[in-house]
Amino acid sequence: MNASVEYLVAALLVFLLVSVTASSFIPDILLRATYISESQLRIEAEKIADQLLLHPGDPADWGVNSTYPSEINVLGLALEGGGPYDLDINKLIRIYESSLSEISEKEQVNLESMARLLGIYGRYSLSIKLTPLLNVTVQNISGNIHEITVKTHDDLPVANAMTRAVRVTAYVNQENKTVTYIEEPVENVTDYNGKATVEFAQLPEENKLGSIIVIFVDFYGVKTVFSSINEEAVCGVIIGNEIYVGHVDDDFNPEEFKTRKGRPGDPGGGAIHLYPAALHVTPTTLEPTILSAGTLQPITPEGSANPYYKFELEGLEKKSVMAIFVVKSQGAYKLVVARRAYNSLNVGVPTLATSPVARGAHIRRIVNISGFLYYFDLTLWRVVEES
Amino acid sequence: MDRRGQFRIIEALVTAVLVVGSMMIAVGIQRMPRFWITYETEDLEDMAFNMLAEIADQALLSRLLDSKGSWETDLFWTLNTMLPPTIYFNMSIYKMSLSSGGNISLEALNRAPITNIQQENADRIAESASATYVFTSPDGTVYLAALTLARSRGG
Repeated sequence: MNASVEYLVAALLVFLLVSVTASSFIPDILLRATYISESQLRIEAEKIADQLLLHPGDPADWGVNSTYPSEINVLGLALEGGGPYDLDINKLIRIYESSLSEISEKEQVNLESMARLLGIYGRYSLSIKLTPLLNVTVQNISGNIHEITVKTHDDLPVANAMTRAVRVTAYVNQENKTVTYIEEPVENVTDYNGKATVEFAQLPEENKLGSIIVIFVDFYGVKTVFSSINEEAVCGVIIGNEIYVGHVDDDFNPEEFKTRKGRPGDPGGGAIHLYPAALHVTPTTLEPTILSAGTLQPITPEGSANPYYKFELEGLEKKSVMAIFVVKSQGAYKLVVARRAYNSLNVGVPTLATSPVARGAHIRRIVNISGFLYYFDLTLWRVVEES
Repeated sequence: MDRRGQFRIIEALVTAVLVVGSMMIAVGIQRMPRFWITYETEDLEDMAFNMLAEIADQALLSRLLDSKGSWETDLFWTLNTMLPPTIYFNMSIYKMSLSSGGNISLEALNRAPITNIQQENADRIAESASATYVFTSPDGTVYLAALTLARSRGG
């Protein structure tokens, strides 16, 4: 009996010892392990962010002069010869434009290629998000009156910001073979609530192809851009001095079309004698540029049966946020918009099915793309191996 | 229960207390690196340099050349908009001059503080980091911008 009591008390003590040890130390150890794990992930994320933002890569002009990701030796997004955190829009288009492989001979540098080039494939995955520094939205209040709202991403209204809204409306006259662009720049300053109202002119609907609205915001030197594009517009892509369009009808000869640029009430004000011509939308004006060497390309490297049309741009404005021109596609004339500045860009958004995220490190930097400031958000996480 | 049994229990009890106690003391006195502070400070440094690099050309230089305007207020609003609300900042701009003796002198340019740190918030600052950025205007004047960023406690 006495021996049994001794055994019971001894067992109780052992149980207490184990319980106290486990309950005291395991959470503490896990917490410290978490700190170590997160700090390692953060170090890796900072290395990748610096590599992408401060290095142009090898070759330094890979955004323009490489066709396949295998031609890139080192991945970097910095602009060759630019300042710190200046990014090359051509490289960003190569990463973000998912339709690139379908409408050009160039292959998209997708997430897998990026991970391989960064040497993290199979161990880490990443997402990159670019958002304009100021959150600009535009809402049609009534008719031609639009309300522009400028906020920070913390939802604070930005007062006293200079806004310049430019609406460009395109018309095509098939008989005269003339494309007319009506440019309407309107300026205003945001009020205490971060809102500015702009009113455009009433324009005729006849022969109208569509319109775009580009809003430039300057807040004490912090410049951002936002664009609203008609849904019927065809998307083109500019890489370097080449512009790609997905499909152009065989009977469309762009060299037959004369281009005019004007203001409301004076549509023929500025005839542009370029055959064919595209217009660059810049923060200050619409700059005409000639489209040359338009050629129909037979097939893409992806093996798609869709041919694509490639023009060469004679001069690309550094501050250009988009190039616009008109093509005939599937029997109808359409406005083509090739962006050089995006409202937001995302790559590698994790989904639960493809890459479960256990824990991630997040890095935010401010970058300059063609004179406009963006937040660059990099999230890095370990890839969870499937059992 | 005989005396030997009682002693064994007391021995076991004392041993258990000693083992657990020594482990707790060992964990308590060891100094693990405080990673979150180390890397948060580095992050603030990077953020400060990144901020200076971005505003030097666009926001800073054009306003410094316009010395008549209240560029200190403009810079305050620029920084206030670009930085998260939980970050305190203090910025100073200096004009750098090289004397004939080879010494570099700094002349403070901002006539008013460019900061969102109020006196009553000073004790809420958990950590801070600074970065400096040297840039040149088209007329050859060399400027030095110093930006200190601080993270508020509980921000």
